[in-house]
Amino acid sequence: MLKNPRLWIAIVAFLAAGILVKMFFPFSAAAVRASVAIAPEILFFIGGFPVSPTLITLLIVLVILLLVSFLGTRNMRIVPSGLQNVVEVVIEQLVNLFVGIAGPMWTKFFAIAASFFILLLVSNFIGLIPGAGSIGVIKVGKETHTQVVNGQICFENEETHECEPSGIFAIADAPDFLTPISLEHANMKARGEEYEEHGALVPFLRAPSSDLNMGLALALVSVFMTQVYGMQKQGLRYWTRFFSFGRLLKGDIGFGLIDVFVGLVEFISELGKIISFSFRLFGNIFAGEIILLIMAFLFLMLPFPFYFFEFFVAFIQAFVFAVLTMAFMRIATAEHGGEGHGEAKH
Amino acid sequence: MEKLGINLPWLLAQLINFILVLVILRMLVYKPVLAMFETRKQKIQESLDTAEKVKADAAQQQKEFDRKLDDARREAQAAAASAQQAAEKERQRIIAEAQQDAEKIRVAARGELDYERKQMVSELRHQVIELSMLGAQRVIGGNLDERKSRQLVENFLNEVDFGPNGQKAGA
Repeated sequence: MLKNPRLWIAIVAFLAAGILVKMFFPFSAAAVRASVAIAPEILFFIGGFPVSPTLITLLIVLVILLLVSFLGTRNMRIVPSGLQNVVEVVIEQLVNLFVGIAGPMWTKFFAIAASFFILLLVSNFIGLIPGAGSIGVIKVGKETHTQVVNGQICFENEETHECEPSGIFAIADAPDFLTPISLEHANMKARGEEYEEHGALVPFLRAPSSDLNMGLALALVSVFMTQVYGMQKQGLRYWTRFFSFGRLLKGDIGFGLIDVFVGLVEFISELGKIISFSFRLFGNIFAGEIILLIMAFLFLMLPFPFYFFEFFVAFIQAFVFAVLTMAFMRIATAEHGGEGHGEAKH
Repeated sequence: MEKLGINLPWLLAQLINFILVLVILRMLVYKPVLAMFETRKQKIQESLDTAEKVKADAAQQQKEFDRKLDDARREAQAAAASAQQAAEKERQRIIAEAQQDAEKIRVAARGELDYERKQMVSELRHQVIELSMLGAQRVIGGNLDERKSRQLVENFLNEVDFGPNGQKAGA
């Protein structure tokens, strides 16, 4: 690879192009003010419902999934071809994975865990499409002096009072419904509080999984369904996992207190799963977005190697979410060595 | 919570979206694809079973065929052997016949030869007797007793092993 002179020429040409572009079109990070707000921005309202870039992308993900699943299974053949092949490979790999984790119980948990994986995979990948996170509207703040030069929004440089271009894509006369406003500010506005606004780029599309709501919603489904399956399998006895007063009521104070304490720890860890599920996903995807953004502002072509990494992260996060859900469900449905067995021995 | 962007409308939107995805995937993907896996599994099993059966049938037929071939070969061998035997017999018969014929011819020939020799010997003897008697008459100049002298010569001839059959009397 290193002996190939054409590769070196290509690398040098890319670097030279990067330097030239930086010299002649100096995009100022301060001027664009890329949005790195944790809370998704609100692009516009539909009947009082705030629409964020993540929700728009989520709708696109839903349509993609609907189309692929419809076209892939419209005409099922014994000997698969084309899209059916792709769909079958994905499902088969998931089945193999889940059989390995949950054994014969996999059919019960398959629909939810596989849906987690597929939904998250598409959601994570769609945020990596160039343009997602970088094409959007410029939110113009009150205190920022702006003017329009040659159809582009300019921010006035505070020191030189010269006009700096604000970004590659910008909508100069954004209609009212496209004027972005963060949820925090929207709420402050609704309460009639004062708030400061800064000029910032608000993208049209962002990875749905970079919205904490997605991780939280899926984590809630995961943990809730885990309790449901646990109760289906073991009945009310399932709850002795968290609230085991059996031995305490029988007068065995020492072991009884330990049981109660263990149940409490279990209960907290179950609640902790909601937080760990949602923040693991959100943290990884959101951090990936920011890394790509920062690298883009540092130097031309620099995000390129990070895309490989982010693709890996996107896959791993979807995978981990599905596998952990499967494992937790498996644990909840397994007979836990509770007090019943313990007492029989004493 | 506000800073994190968590709010009820968005959370509900995400929940509804996941339920939609679950329903869509379940209806359009999981059910048909898993059913297809099952169908394919059965089909492959069937094919394997059929293949196994066909293989067994083929083996059976091969065995049958081999057996028949063996039978035929054995029959042919037997036929060839019997034919060879018959031929050998015929050969022996022909040879024996030929030998017999040859013997006959030889015997006949020898008989003839013997006869001729005897004839010749007897003739020679006769002539020898005639000649010796003629010679003796000339030497003596008179008549000899025909019968007596003839007897004499004949005795002589018998003595020198010149019998009527030409063989030495002593042999």
